[in-house]
Amino acid sequence: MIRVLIGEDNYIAREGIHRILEAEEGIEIVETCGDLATLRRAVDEQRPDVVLADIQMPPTKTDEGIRLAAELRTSHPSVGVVILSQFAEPLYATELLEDGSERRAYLLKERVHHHGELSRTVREVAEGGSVVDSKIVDLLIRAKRQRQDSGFNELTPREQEVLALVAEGWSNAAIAERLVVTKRAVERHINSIYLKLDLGDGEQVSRRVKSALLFLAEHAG
Amino acid sequence: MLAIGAILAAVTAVWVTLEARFLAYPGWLAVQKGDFILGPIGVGLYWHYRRPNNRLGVLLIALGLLGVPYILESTSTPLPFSIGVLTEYLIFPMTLAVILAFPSGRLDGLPERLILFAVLVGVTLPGFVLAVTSARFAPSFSISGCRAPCPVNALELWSPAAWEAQLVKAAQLTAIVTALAAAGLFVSRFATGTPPRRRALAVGAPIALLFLLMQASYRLLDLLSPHGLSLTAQPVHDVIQWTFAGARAAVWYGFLFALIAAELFAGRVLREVVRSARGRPSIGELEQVLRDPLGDPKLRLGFWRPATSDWADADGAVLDPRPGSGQAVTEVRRDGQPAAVIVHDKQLTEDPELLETAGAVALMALENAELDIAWKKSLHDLVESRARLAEAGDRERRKLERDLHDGAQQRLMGVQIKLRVAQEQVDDRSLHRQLEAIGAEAAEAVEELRTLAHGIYPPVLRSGGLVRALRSLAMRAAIPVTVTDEGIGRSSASVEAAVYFCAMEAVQNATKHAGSDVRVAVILGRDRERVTFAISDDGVGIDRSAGADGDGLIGMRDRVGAVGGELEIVSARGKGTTVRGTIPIPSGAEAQRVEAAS
Repeated sequence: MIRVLIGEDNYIAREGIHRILEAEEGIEIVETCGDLATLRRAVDEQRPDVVLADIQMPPTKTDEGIRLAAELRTSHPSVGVVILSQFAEPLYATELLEDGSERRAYLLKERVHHHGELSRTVREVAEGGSVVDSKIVDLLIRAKRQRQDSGFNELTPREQEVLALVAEGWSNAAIAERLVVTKRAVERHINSIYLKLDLGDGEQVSRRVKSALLFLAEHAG
Repeated sequence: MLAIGAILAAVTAVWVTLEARFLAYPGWLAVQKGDFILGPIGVGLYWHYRRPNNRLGVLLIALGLLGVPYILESTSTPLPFSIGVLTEYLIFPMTLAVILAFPSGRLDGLPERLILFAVLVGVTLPGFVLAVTSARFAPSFSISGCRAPCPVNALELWSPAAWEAQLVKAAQLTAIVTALAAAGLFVSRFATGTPPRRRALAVGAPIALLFLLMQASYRLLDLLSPHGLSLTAQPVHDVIQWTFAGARAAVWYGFLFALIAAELFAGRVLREVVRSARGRPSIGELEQVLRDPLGDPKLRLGFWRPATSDWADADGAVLDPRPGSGQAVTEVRRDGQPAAVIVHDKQLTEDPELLETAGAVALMALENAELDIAWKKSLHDLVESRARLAEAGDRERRKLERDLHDGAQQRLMGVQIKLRVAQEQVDDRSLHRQLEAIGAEAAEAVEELRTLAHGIYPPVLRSGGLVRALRSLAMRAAIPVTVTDEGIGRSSASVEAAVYFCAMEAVQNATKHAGSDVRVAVILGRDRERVTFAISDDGVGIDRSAGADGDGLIGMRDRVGAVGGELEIVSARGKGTTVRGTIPIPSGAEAQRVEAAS
């Protein structure tokens, strides 16, 4: 049973999330909080597996969710955080993954009602994985494509596709299924990508999300 | 008319004198007598014209008029001759009165009045006594003497008394003493006077002083050697005699000179003050600007305050316009209303040309200062208005973005959820697909709203601050952009928006115009009370000389200017473009007010 804590002050969104997760097997909503302070306390008291938080919450409604995720990295390292945001803002995603991409996910709010997406993400994060909304990755890739310099354009189209999926947090098996190729092919592609771009280790799925995303977000040229 | 009469009289005097055979120096005396009428009357007229409130003009005219009966002294007929001689004893006090009254036209002090009284009692009165007792009643002015025997005294009534010689001596002594006293008075007035007083005396008094001294010397010589002079003394006597005559004839010209000098001085003062005024003196400095040329270190300048109905000096302190000792007050009016007041040395009232100048200058400076305050206030209002407008604009945008997010976007997401829910309840495949399609459209609408909101006001700018917003901008940009934060910190929403949109414009420009392979560097910092930012690219640069800035650049300037900042754009062909700006950040309380407003 995955114990989930929800931090969301908007009524409509709260209802939506509730309805979707309630129906899921193996997921239990432990508490719902309306602001950062209450959420923090609830984490201490309830010891959830995953915290599902809006990026903007009272008191300041700016970046409470991100701040909480950073705090929990040290205070409660085993707790996963799924950030829900109205903003397709790559910046926030990179900030979220700054301390590492394990147990961290960034989803856009509308993703919530794409069938099964939310629950998939919660499960993924509970197991230590990472998910980044495809819209974020899309935005970054679009920008990368326009840049003439980037190593990104040295990748083959297939490699580019694979990189995008890696940044979204997919496992090799999932990528293979998605692109209708063999797992072996995927592994080869990934090695090639990581070599070309000098990204380091491409094996560890949850960790590589960070490096892939940061590569895509890299803007200094 | 007086002038015509004077000329006629002078001509008569000259003619009569030249005809008189018994006179020692008919030629010179003729000149002196003609000048004695024309001189004082002429100068008196001019003086009265230039300074109508000053009685010296009238006194001079009176003195000149006395010169008319004085003509009679040049006739050989006894009665007119004697009357002429008698006139001398009136001329003597009158001349002294005129001299003592210079330059104010009044005999103000006790010493002056005492001297005049002494003259009347000690010289004129004896003169009249001698007129009726003396056998030979002779002229006593220096060159009026007779060569041949003078005509007899027609006024003699009684025979000379034993004390006649003593009376004469006493009169002579009085004349000497009073002349010396008058001279001494002049000198002391000069020595103890304020600079304006000294200036007035220095120009007009020397001839008069010379006259007085010569008067004293001549009479002294007469007194000491009644029976004629020794050979050694004669040349001295001659010198004194002619100097005396010349001085007498020139006394009033000294006064005329004083008048002209005063006008010239006023002109010079005006020039100096105007020159100082080019340095744009403040009202406070104006007092000093006037003091120096006027030579009045205690001068005070005050301005009327209609609000409190009193006078105030340059610092705003209340000014009591009552004059101290030796001072006078002059009010300067504008449109019939009191405008300025000058408390100055009393001497300056006798220099009305100067006061007029000072008054005009004070008024000019006052108007200047008022204009200055007015335009500064206008400018201030304009700046504030501009800032308010910019703030209002930003507020509207943020509100719009928020409304789009909280309103339309949320609602659409709600629709998406409901569609989802409906989809799950539907078995019919075709209906399922339709709902799917509707959901896709809703998703697109959400996307469009999001883009729209982002264009109006990026949410990350509102919620995350300037640095984050710029980093986000960099991530989405089509060209490489580095963002370096050297400690810019947080500022008010208006300031952050100004910097953000400026940077956005600059990056867009670089993307569109700077050519391929261009990089942009954004550097943010803070320097005391200003935030600083610079966006530079290494592209092809803009040719700034080609006409005015484009809309984008103007927009940047406007945005930055509206929050009180400055923008500098440096670009040259082949050298890239740098947009550099600073924006002052309000301190403490003002910052809080600004934050609260947003």
